[in-house]
Amino acid sequence: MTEPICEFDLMAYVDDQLDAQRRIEVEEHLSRNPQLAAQVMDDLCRRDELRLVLTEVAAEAPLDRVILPVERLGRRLSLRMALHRSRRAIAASVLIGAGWLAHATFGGLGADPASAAHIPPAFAGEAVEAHRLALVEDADPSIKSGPKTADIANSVSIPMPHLPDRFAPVTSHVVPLTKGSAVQVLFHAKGGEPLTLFAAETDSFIIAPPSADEVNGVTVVYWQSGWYAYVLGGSRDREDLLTLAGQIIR
Amino acid sequence: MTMHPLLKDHMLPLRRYALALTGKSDQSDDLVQETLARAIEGAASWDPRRDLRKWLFGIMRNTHASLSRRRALEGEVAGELASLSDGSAPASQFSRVHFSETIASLMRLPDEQREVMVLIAVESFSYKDAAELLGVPVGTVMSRVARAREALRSASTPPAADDKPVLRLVR
Repeated sequence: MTEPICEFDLMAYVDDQLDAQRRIEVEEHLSRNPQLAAQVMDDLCRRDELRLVLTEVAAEAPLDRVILPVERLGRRLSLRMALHRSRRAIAASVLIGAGWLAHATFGGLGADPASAAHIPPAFAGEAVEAHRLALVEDADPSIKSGPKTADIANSVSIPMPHLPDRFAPVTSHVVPLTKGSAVQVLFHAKGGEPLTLFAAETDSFIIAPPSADEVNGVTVVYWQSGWYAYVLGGSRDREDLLTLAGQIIR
Repeated sequence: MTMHPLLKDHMLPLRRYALALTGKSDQSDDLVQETLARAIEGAASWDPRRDLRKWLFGIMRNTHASLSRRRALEGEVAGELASLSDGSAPASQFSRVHFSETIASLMRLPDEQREVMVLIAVESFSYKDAAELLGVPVGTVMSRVARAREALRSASTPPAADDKPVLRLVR
C-alpha cells in the first residue's frame, strides 16, 4: 500500500523533486481530484512562465562585458581540471620552482625547457607591433590621449608594475589578442626615447626572470610573473632595459 | 562570439540568479561582473570534482551580500523592487519586456523567498542543494518555497474569488 499523498508531495511534484514512482502515484491521485489537478497545473504554468520571463530578461543583458572575464575564468578552470588530472605534473612543476616544466607541459612561451629563457614570448611580436603603432600615434598630435593607465588595466584585470618617476605614462590601450587582451602603456622618459610596457595574461603560471632580445628592430625585455607576462619595448640599450625591468619587478 | 565551453551553459543561469538576488537589471549586470572577477581570483579554490554551477552560485551569493552591504554603507537604499512591478519607474531592461503578473509578483516577494523560488522553480535545484547553498535546513527551503508559491497564487487570484481550490493536506 502506498503512502497517502500529502501537501509535501504536491509541492515536490511541482518542484520536480520526486522519483518516478512517487510522481506516478501523485498523478494517479490528481486524476481522481480534478480541482487539485487544476491547482497543480496552475502552479506548473506559473513555474514555466517564471522560467520564460526570467530567461528572456537575462538573455537581454549585453555580452560584451562578460566575454573577456568568462574566457579568463574558463581558462583558469580548465587549467584546474588539467592539474587535477595530472597530479604528477603538479608535483614536478612545484619541484622545478621556476616553472619551466609546467611551461612545457601546459603550453607556455617556448617549447624547450632548456632554451626557454632565450626564446621571446609568443606575443613579443604583438608587443612590438603595438609598440610601433604607439610611437606613430605619439608623433601625431591630432590623436588624443587614451584613458588613464589604471582604468585600462582595471578593465582587463592585469596588474601593472610601476615604473620609476622619470617615466611618465602618456597613453594606454587595450590590445586584442587571439586569446584575451593585453594592455600597453606608452611612457615618455626624461632625456630618453619613449618606451612601451606590454602586459598580457597567459595560460601558464610561470616565474621567469627578464630576458632581452631584439624583434624587428625593437629591443625587448620580457619576463613573466605568475599568470602575467610583460614586455618592455624601446630603442634603448639592452642592458638599460634589463636594468629597468629588474627595478620594476622588485 | 562563443563562450568558453566550460562556462557557456552557466552564464544564463547566473544572470537569472543575479536578477533574482538584485531584482534590478542594472545591478544584476554588475553582480555578474563582480562574481566573475571573484571567481577568477578564487579559481584555485574550485575542486573539479564538485559541481561548477553550485560553486559559481555560491560566489554570486556571497558577492551579492558584500555588494549589498557596500551599497547600504554608501547610503543607497537596496531592494526597490516595487518600482519594477508598479510601472512607475521601470529599470532599464525590464521596461522592454512584457511584465506578466507573475514576474511582478516574483519581484515583490521578500528577498529570501524570491531567491529560493528561483533556485527551485527556475534553476531546478534540489531542495538539498538549495539548502547547502543558502546555509539553511532543507525544511526552511521547503517552507520558503511554500510561502512564495502561496504568495504568487494569491497575487494572481482576484480578491473576491470564492471557493477556488487550494492545496491542503490530503489523506
